[in-house]
Amino acid sequence: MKNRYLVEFNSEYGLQPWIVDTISKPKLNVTPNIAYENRIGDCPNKFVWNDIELTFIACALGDTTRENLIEFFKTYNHSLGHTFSFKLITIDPAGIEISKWIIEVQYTEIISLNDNGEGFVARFQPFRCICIF
Amino acid sequence: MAYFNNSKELHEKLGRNILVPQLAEPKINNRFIVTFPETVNLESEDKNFKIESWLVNSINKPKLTMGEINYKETIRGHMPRYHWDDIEVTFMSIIEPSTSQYFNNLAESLIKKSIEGIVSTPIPYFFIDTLDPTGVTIEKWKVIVEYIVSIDFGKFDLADDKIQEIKVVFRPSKCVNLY
Repeated sequence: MKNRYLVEFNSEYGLQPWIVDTISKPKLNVTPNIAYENRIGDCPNKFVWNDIELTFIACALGDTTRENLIEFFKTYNHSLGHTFSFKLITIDPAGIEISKWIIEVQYTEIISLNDNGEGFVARFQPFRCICIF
Repeated sequence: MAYFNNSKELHEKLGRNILVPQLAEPKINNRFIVTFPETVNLESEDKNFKIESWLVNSINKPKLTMGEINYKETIRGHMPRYHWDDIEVTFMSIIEPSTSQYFNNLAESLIKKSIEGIVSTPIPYFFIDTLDPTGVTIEKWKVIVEYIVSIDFGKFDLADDKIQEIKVVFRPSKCVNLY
């Protein structure tokens, strides 16, 4: 099911796995610089992973989590030098992990940082997505 | 057994206006089966993975479109080319064998090949069959795949309790209606 998931960040950030409201799963796409006009010279150029957009639950964020989240984005927002990874886990009704992705992120960008109900919306640019099982 | 030329004639014979099967029965959108090749050439452990037909939730049928008109070429007498539009196939994501893992391996293979400058088609073709109510194939398309355009693993949402799907977009080089 689409609503049975956890997003596990590294424990040093102090972010619980249930604080993500929505998250897009990885999407592989061909780069757009293909000559589409009349499909002349139409051949795939390069496959890349699309950006992953996630929304954090605003109402469930306590002060500590919010501070941790702000610290996290202070470190990684618009920072090309810092890479990190997180796990995207699908669980069954009994809470057992049935699918696990490891997403390695090379670039992070905050889209919206609104405390008035909308919460944090961020965009991660992955450079590798691995489905372990 | 009496034969009737059309349903109207049958109605008149029966003397009542009831819903009867028409002689030219229309095909139904949900009676289809998509068959993929037995094995897919992947450089991974999942070489023998078979994409089962029942994993397909939905699929576009082939669509022919004219390309954009380039007026400079039109003046010279060249007509714009026709091409087959992309075909989007939606798969159910199941636990075992893991559909996500299979398509992830497929994605890794595509990335690796594209870095080397090779256009790989791990799924070279597939068939789209239309079935009648008894399960007999009454229409068959063969789609020859040029390459895979995208693999979308979907989205997680706490407010959505639908099943997970994986969308794969194929660019066909040729679509043949076999019968």
